[in-house]
Amino acid sequence: MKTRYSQWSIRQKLVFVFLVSALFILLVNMMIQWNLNQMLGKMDQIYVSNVNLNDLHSGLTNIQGNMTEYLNTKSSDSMEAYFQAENDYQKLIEGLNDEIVANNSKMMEKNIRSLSETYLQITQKAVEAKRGRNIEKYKEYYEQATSIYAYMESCIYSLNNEQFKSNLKQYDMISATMRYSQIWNVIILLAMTAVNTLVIILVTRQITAPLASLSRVASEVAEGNFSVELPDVENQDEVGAVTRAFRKMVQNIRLYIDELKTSMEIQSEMREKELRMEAHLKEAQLKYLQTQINPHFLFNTLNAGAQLAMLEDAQKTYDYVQNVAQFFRYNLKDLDGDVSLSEEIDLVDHYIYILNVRFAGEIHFQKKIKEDCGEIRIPPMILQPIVENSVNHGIRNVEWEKKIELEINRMEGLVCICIRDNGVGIKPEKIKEIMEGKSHSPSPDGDSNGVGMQNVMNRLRLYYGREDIMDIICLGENLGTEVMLYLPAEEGAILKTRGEEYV
Amino acid sequence: MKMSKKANGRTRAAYIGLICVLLFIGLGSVVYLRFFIRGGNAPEESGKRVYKRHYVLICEDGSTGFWNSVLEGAREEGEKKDAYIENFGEDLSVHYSVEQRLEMAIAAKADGIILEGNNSQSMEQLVDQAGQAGIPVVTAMTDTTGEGRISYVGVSAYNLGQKYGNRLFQNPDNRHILVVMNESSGNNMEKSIYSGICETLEGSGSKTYHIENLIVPDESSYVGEELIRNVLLEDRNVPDVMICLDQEMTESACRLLVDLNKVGKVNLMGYYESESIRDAIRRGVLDSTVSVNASQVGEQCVSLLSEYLDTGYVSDYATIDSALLTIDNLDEYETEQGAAEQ
Repeated sequence: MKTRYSQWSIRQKLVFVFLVSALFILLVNMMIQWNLNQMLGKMDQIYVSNVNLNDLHSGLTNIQGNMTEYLNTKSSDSMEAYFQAENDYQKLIEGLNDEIVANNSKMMEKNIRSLSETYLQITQKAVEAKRGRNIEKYKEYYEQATSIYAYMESCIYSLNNEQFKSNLKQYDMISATMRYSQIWNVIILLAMTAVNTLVIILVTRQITAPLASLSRVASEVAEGNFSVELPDVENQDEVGAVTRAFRKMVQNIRLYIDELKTSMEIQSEMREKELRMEAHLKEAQLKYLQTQINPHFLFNTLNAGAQLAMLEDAQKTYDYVQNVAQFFRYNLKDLDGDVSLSEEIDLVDHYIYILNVRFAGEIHFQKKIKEDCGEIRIPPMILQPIVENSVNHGIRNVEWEKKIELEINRMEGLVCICIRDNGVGIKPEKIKEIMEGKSHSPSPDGDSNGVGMQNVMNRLRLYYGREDIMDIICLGENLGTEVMLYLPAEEGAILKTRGEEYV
Repeated sequence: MKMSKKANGRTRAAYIGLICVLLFIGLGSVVYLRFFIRGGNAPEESGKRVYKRHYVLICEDGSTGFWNSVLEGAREEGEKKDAYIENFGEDLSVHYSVEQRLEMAIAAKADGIILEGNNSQSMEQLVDQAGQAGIPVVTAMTDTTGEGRISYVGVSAYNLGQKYGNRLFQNPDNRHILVVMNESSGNNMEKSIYSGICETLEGSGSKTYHIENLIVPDESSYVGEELIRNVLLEDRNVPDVMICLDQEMTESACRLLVDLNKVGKVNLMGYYESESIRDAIRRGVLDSTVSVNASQVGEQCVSLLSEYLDTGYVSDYATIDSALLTIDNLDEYETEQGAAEQ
């Protein structure tokens, strides 16, 4: 029932409530009406017995009168009237009690009935005697009949009196009953009205309570409180449907907001990364620019030197100047974007060439590069600072042959770049400082382009969005240093790491 | 969620409350309808039982305690014999004589009649008429002859007279004796009692007694009282003993003795017993009274009628116990009566 009721629509519920309410009122009214009818019926019957006795008396008087008239006149009219009256009277006495019961009125009725039967027998005999012209007999019968008639009159009169008294008592009783009945009816009606009102209040509250709850929640949601507790829904009516839809909507909004927040956080993080990277790059550039002289003047100068060297057939000078020019040109490029690995390798070549010119070819530089690695895009100014670091801190002051190796391989989706020297090595504390980003940038001097290991590592980490991008290995003092770079080989990996898909 | 559960609990409680109210209204209405509608009905007398026979009791004055006791006894016996006994003519607004009521009872085809008889001619004729109509008549206390009379139930009046006489002997001051009798319908019983008293006195051989009777004419109920008053107010001829052979006159005489300050001066002997009569004995106003077991009279009458109707014959005469109540045996008598009633 409960399930069925909860599945009803509001209209059905309201109709049901009002129908039940109306039915209650109808039933109570019918009950009251029935009660009143019973009372009125009883009131109608109160004096029926008196009326019946009066009829009986009239019938008796008729018989006596008609008999007397017949005995006096012997007319057929009076005889006919007598028989008619007798017939009528017979019917009347049939309604009288003929049982022996312990009730005075009933016994009086029985006596009247028996007396009437005797009386009728005697009157018949009197009439027959008259018809037979038996004067003596009819006179005797007449006297007997008259005597019994007088008794019967007295009996009827007494019974009438008794019944009137009893009826009066009954009337008083019914009258009192009616008064009580009226009070009770009012009580019942009031009670039913109260019950009805309560039923209507309860049912309407039951119907509107979910609506009020929904309204409250909706107001809170409208004020921006999406964490409000959502109302439960059991009913299948319209309010239930609206509430369910509202729940779904709020849940979806919550989900959407969560997703948006995550997205915003990622964006913000990416933006921060970019800013930091930009800052590092700017720092690198600034440091570089601090060291540079007017580039056009330098290039013009270097070009003039190169041309001069060519005119003088000084090939080595020409190559040197060209390499220097290439090296600085690279540094002057727009380095906001990325560059290919081959460009970076070229820069290292230029750098090593310049250094070998400076240091009379002391540095033996070897490259082992996989063929398909040249086009990989990486951030600019990565390899040269590492090589520069190897030269400045690794092999510069060693007595043995100075070697620097550059090895590039592919390994499990990564491009492994290894820059190895056979210099003095690096202390583990220094490695730790560098890896933890605590190493301060070296002050620019004449042998550096100003971009330190720390800067390289930070940029790589920002660019690829991963921490394990670089590794520095030193097996001990004078055992050289090996710097490993693990760069994601796929383009998608870089982009994904940079979070571009989420922006 | 919690709020919702709480609200559900409240709603359930409200529904239970409503159901209770509805039940109250429903039950209240049913009770109210039953009560009021039943209350509106005519008060049904204890008359649901239908009896087999209808006997009528016809006596001179059915309102006296004696005949009421007779009726009660008859009704008790009637319950056993499946007969209803009606105090015939008592409820009528017109007062009819015993003969008239007998005539009515015959015409009303009663199954049996208990009759306080008398020796009038008309009574005899009516008893004959009853016999012809097949209605048996049992006479009570006073006998009547006639075809319909099947038996008589009563005390031996002569014996009663002897009891009065014997009581008179116990006080030698009882010299002038006045017996107050009712004229009404020539009641044989009172005459028999009177004869019994006279014969007892004569039988004693004493000549010091003077006995006379006062016949109270049957004119009005106050006549007897007036006559007794006159007797008591006479200076010279006030009797030493006054014997009233009627309950009503006994009670009147008791009142008069007290009113006229004659208690102790006139020795009063009464007939039958009632609360006021017993009280008079206790106070010494009344010397003695005759107690007749009235309810036994009624029982016997009904028993005889039923026996006659069942078998066709009964004994002609049934005697009822009687006793002379004095201050000496009054308590004992009352104890016995109380035990018998219980």
